[in-house]
Amino acid sequence: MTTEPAPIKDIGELKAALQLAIGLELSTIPVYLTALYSIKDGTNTDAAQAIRSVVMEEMLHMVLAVNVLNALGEKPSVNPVNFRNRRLNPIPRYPHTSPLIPGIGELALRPLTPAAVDSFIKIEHPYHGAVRPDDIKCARDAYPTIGTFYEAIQTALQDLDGLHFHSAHQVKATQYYGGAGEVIEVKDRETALKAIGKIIDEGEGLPPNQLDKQAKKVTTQDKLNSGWQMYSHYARFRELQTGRRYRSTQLARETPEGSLLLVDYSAVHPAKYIKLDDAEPQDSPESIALNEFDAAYTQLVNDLYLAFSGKMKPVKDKIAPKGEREADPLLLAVHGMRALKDKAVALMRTPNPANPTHTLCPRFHYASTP
Amino acid sequence: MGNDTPTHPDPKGIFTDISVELTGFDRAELGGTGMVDTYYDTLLRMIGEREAGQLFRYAQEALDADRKEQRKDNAAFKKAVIDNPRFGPVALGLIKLWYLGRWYPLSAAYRDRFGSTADDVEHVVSGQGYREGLVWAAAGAHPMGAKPPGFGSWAEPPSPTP
Repeated sequence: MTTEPAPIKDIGELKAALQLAIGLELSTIPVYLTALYSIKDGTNTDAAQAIRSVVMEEMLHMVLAVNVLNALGEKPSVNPVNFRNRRLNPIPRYPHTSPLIPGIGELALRPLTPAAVDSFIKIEHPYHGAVRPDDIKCARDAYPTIGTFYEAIQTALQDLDGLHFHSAHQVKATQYYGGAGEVIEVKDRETALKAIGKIIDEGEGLPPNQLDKQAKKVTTQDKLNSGWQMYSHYARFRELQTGRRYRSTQLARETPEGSLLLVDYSAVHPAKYIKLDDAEPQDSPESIALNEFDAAYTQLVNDLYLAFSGKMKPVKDKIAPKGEREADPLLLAVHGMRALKDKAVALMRTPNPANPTHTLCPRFHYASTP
Repeated sequence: MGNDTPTHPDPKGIFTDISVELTGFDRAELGGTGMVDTYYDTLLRMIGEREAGQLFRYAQEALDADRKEQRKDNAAFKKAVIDNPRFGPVALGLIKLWYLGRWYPLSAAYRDRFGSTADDVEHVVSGQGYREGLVWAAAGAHPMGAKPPGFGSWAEPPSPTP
């Protein structure tokens, strides 16, 4: 039933698509983080490393999309955007099925389980698990796959008339980043295409032909100083799913047949996600802890978007003159990410009184998303 | 601060309720440290199961009485546990344990009256106990060498838990 997705027709639509691209990258992060943080301390080191490395790159991709949007003179925003007569929230509420890219399937927050890994594969597979893109049911104003979505952005960046690029509010590579790839500052059409190309090259929106290439082939940029090679997200998760590494000669579409990758699904906190509406009475200690986590996540996202719009954040400081000074919100967001990890782990250790075999699961609910 | 007791209380549940009462942190915050099981075991090692059973019994009765009378100052618990020469020193040890992740031996006066166990010596209970010490959360700080708060965070004022 699939028809070719409509191309992006003008600058307004391109800007809206980029707002949604930023949200798309952000929306995968809680899915992976929930699994990562559910791993008990000191266990599953290889699995944790694989998931963590992908999260790092999703963060990079988010920033790359931000830089392209800023270069077009539009500020990244958490507010809903109009895209082809639909009003879409860039930041989702979980569990979430993207109306923009239905192929991805449901984004749900789960601890590290075989089902969770299956869902990761679905996100990162070129056709999201379908044999052919035509098998994905998709309206004409949406995109069947992440790949086709980024392709449309790429084509628009290349072909649209009247695009003016200037180097505004670019997130630069000033902070430590331990993942693969690097921040590209966007100042013209060429660097914009390079930034989107990097997103496609590293993972989501994996071009289908990559399945017929060596699973472990990487560009020099995706080789870390430590020697780790960051091949595609799909291949990394496929190894997790099968519990085997790819041999260096194997193609990505093949089943990994190399050495064992030890995944111990029992060394995982038995967290269980409870929908916001189904939550316990709001004054129980567990509800308070869950709400505090959501508040911390909301603040972290707000700090990020403030940084993306090139602004400083006023913070209270007793020693500063007038009791206030300005801080870099990007740095505050990084601190927030670290604190968020500790909060997430704490939730996943806390028994759910209504269901004592399970522990609490962070909801990553962004406050302004309905 | 929730102190709900399940209808069929289990010893670990009572232990958690006592800990909530002694530390000022709620059930979820204590559960979040991942230390409830470990500290429960520690207490049983330090004073023995028979004595722990007595502590749980009197504490539970007092907490129930306080709840029934809706007393905010928890006078019954204070009388039965904190001001009681038999349980007071143990309660003190539990507070230190939760805040510092370290067991400090019971006082000589206590041992003279109520006896002692061989394990009742000063020791760090576990590496996780140090990392999860309530002292860090109470001070809005982080344990040195663990839970790194991020580059430059030392320039920001501490943010105590709400």
